[in-house]
Amino acid sequence: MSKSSSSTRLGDLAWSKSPKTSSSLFTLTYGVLVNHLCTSSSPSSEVSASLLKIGQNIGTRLIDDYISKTSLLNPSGPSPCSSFTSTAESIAKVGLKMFLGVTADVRVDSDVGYSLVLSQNPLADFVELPDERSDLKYSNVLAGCIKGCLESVGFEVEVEVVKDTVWGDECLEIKVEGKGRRRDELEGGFKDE
Amino acid sequence: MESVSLESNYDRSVDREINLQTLSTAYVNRDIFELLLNEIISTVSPSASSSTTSSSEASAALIEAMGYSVGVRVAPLLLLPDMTSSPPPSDPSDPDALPPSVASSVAENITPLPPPPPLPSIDPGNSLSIVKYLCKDLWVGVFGKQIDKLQTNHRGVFVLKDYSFTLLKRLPTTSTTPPTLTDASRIQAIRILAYPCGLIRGALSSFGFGNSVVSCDFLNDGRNVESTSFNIRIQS
Repeated sequence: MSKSSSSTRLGDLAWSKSPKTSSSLFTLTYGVLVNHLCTSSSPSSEVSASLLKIGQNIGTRLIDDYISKTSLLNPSGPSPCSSFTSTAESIAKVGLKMFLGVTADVRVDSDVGYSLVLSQNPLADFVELPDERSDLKYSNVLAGCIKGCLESVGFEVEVEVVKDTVWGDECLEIKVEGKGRRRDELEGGFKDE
Repeated sequence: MESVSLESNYDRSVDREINLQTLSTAYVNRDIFELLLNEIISTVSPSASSSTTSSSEASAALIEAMGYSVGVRVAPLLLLPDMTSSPPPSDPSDPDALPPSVASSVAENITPLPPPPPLPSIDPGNSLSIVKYLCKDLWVGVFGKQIDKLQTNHRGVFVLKDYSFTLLKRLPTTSTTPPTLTDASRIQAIRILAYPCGLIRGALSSFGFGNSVVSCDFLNDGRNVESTSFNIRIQS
């Protein structure tokens, strides 16, 4: 599909221009954050919720960077957030690539939902959960980040990690469900701010 | 104090044009790391209303400890392939050591780099050699640039100067000429800088120099607000 290869090309281009740091540094830094949250809050559900919130904070800052860099690199391209389903491709091939250096496969679940399947996840490289934390949503910061980005561009969403390598699954799978617009929209189009 | 040359006849900057397809799993975007670090600082810092000197110091100490535990593990991973012919040996009795499978799989990920011209290798017992590695390979791997100036008195004291330290670039400054950090920025900067101090201390520890004290200062050199110096004292 020409659309998907142009997203891939945009993602590769944005990645080639981004400043880089060691992914091990990133993995380890995230690990000490999770460790700190686990020692200070007791239930895994609270830690998972904190990670989601942290992700949302990061997402709301990231989206401006994403939009400005992609419109600079691809000025005549379609707006990355023109419809809910187009956000899937934008996240999977462009966003994830330019920030984490990895891409995801998109599985469309319905008109208002899709799943992102990542075979590589820098957050969880070599991570093993201890038994007492086996229900921790370790990669929740990524779900939160996606949620924060989508909410910033006007989509009300629920984002959830459904599979993770830290739980013994073969991949990281994040489910995104659209719950409507965050504000009134014009018929037939997304109104930019 | 004597200045030490950080000769760079080979540009190790990770932003240069290389086969990115092979390296894509070895790097992430540095902006994401900075955003994550800011969130960590917000999470562990007291809120403005409940902040006291001791709680501020406690949060800076916690951030430094986090930097330390990352530094101990990440320093051996940032050794570029020509520095060692095999992954750094891990002592099975050391609780902080990487398991051999991790060290070797990381080395496999990064060996596809084109062969660089020969560089002086690390001499494990020589603190100057380790500190030079910090200034070059570690700083480039983490912050995308080398330390700008290294000074030492050859008796265990090192001063590392970075004239445009990337983590401080986004802090609000005053509108005076020359601009300086606002008071709030200064407090935030102290917390931010605790992390690289910990990283340096952890990196030194991973090479056998566990007894070091690392602190930092704002340089206030009038040119750049983000000029910082990191001061290392290695006790022998």
